[in-house]
Amino acid sequence: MIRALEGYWAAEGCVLMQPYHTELAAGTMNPATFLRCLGPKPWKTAYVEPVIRPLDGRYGENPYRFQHYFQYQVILKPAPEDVLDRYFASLEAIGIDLRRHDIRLVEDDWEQATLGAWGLGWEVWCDGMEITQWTYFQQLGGFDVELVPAEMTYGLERLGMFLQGKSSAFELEWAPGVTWGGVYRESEREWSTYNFELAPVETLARRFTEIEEECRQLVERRLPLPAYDQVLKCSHLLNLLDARGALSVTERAGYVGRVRTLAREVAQLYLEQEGDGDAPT
Amino acid sequence: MATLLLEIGCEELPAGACREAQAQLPVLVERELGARPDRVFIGPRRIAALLLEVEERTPDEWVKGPPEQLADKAAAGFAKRHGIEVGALVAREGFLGFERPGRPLAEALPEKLDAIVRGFAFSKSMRWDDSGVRFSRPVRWTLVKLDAETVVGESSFGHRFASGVLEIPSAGDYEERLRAAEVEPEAEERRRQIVSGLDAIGEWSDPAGVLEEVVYLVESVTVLVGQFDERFLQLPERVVVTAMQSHQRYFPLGGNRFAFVANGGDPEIVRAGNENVLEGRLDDASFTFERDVALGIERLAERLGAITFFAGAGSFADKSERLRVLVEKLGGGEASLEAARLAKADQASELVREFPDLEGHIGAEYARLVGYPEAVCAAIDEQYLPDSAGGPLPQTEAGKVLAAADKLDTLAVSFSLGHRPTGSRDPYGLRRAAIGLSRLALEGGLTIPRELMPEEVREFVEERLEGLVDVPVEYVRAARASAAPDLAGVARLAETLYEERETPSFEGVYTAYERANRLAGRAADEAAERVDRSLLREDAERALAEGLAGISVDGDVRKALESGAKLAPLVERFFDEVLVMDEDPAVRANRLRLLLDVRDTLGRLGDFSQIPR
Repeated sequence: MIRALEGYWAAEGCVLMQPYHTELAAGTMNPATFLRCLGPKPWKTAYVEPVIRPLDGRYGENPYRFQHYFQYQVILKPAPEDVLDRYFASLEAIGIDLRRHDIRLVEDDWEQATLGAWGLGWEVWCDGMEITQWTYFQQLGGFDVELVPAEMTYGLERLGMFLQGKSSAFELEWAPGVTWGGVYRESEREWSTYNFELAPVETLARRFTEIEEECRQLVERRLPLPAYDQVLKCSHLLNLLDARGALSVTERAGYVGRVRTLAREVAQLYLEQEGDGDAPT
Repeated sequence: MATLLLEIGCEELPAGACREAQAQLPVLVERELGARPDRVFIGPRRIAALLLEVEERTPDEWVKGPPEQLADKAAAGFAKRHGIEVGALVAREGFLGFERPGRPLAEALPEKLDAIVRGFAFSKSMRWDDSGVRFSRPVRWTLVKLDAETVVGESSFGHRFASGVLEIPSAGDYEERLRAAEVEPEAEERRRQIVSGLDAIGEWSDPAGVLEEVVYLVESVTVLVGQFDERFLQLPERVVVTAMQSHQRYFPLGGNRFAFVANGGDPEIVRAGNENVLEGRLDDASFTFERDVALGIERLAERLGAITFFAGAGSFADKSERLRVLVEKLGGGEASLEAARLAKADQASELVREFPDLEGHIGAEYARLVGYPEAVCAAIDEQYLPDSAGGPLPQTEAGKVLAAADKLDTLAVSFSLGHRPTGSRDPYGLRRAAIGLSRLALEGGLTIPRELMPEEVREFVEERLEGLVDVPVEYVRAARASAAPDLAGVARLAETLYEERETPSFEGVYTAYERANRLAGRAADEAAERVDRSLLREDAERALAEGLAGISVDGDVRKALESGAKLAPLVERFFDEVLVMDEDPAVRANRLRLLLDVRDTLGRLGDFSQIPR
């Protein structure tokens, strides 16, 4: 399935990226999406992203909730006129017969407060199951996008369960003779224990402040790419603190605001450098 | 005369946008074409209008220019802008201008369609390219047909997967061609098909009202029935219904069956897929439910100390303790005290995190599972009622008491932290809480002592009360200033004052109050602290003081008015015979106090100066 998606989107001209090297709560946060979708340059990419959401872990007991799972992320910037047709063709490429199933686009607007980002789009249903989160970005880091990108985020476990007719992700055949549960279930148990019970709250809070400061310094030195990594690290620390139940609603809002401010500063710097022609091409 | 079709083809529009389009399209068409459409077709992928008889030329049009007296300065520029000679301008009613002859409609249609597309105002809109157009979702094609002539675009599109490019030979063929391409273009017809499909199955329900959305989620209607494993019936029913309705837009059929509307596909495959999805959701909910139940409501309640209710207002354990105190002050019995202790326990449950709208209900179910008396469980269930301005009230006594305590606490906490609603912003639902509290008193018959509310909260709640009592607002304002001890008492007093407003006793009290207030109210600073009987020199003032001692204004309002009215002749005589502003300051101060006592005694029945005469 992943190979079929890679093959299809590579043929569509996407740069096939690899997963990013620090914890992300969504494929959107990968700089290949967040930063490259800013500014005036066209960009097409597709990649697998392991997403880390400490709060969603269930100790490997619940076959629908995990703190670590996989998304397949596609960005077409700008979105071509027939972007939906291209997306539907990708479903055919992984073996979904569009005429025999009930495919629906159900309104679902996307917003991520920590990144100052929002867009309009849908969740794509296949026989009632959400298989893709589909978004036209409108703002990132608080800035209007110049070329409107289309983002398609496939939920790989769900899609796999659907294609294999499995009702539990643990039973998903991840490779011949190897189940998803066999590979990841123990990791769910251990990470849930760490995320909910052991992650050191005071250290995390201190680290957040240190990394926030580091991000500021990198912005001053006009290095948006390393600065953006610090934003990602802060965001993950916030999610860990949240999973530990260490934040009241107002405290949490305070942390979200701090990450959003960093994201905006980095986005602004990135845009300035794009204007200078210094940005990575 | 010709038949005109305008079609705007979109990527899937949200139901809310479809409803906005349904309302706006006729207005926009009339603005651009001078006539309302005969038919309107709204669906997720198209917004279309059909006009059966349109003129094939646009009407001649008078283009108004500058006033005649400014001809020297402005005429040349105006003429140039419109590409005509200055000499061709004529004067009409003091203005220069020219008659622009009508032109073939087909020539004008592209710009008119463009104006219609740009004219829509959706509550949420987006851009998708550099055209500058904002729309609810991207517009991907447009088609305008004037009879058989294609004026804009090329063709339409049928069902996204069951059909494809669709030729419309002539405007009048639109509906029929779409139906042949698996699209029912008319929203009303789709609604009819869905309802009759559901009716054919039997009993169905739609407590969350998803029908209105489903009408705009499909272009082609197939109603299907599915079922789920009976083991999920152990879940609280409302959890199952919420999973079906808010997540999946299904219609519960009772038991383990549900109906849903598909947009196409092989019915057997689609049914099996949807059954799997719902079972997955219910299985997930069951995991959560079983973890909660294994802990039990008592253990959940013990965890409330770790959960913040409101920054600055402590934890849910603190809230529970405040509820207990309030319930006691509201005169609640054993059941409501027990319910107050357990009311917030479900805030510690995982299921409420998944189904936040079911808070209260989930706690009640957990209490039932361990055998708490039904009065306790029902009160926990009803604690958030009424949850809308006109929503139902709690049915049980304990439920009413707990619901009132919850609202009193939320209001007091929010106001003390400075979270007062401003303008239309009311993120904590304080208006709803205040209206709920008033309704619990008025309709629910609950005695809610006014002294339980801090000053600011009392003002806020009683301002809401003004809108709920069916008498002119001045009477409620008058009653708010009375000594009535509870909210319902204020309302009853306002009603009685209004009913009695033309009786002699009301008249008497009103006059006595007004005269005493008008003179002494302004000089209150100069009044003595209390009436000194030895300083009462005149018969008239002694008579008034004695009369005042003899009246009673507490208890039944009508009797109180009769009693109070006895002061009217005494006040009149006082003003006839006594000069209040005596030269002796002590006498003067004494007389002012006497009048203020008259006002304040009658004032226990309300502030009569609020009532216009």
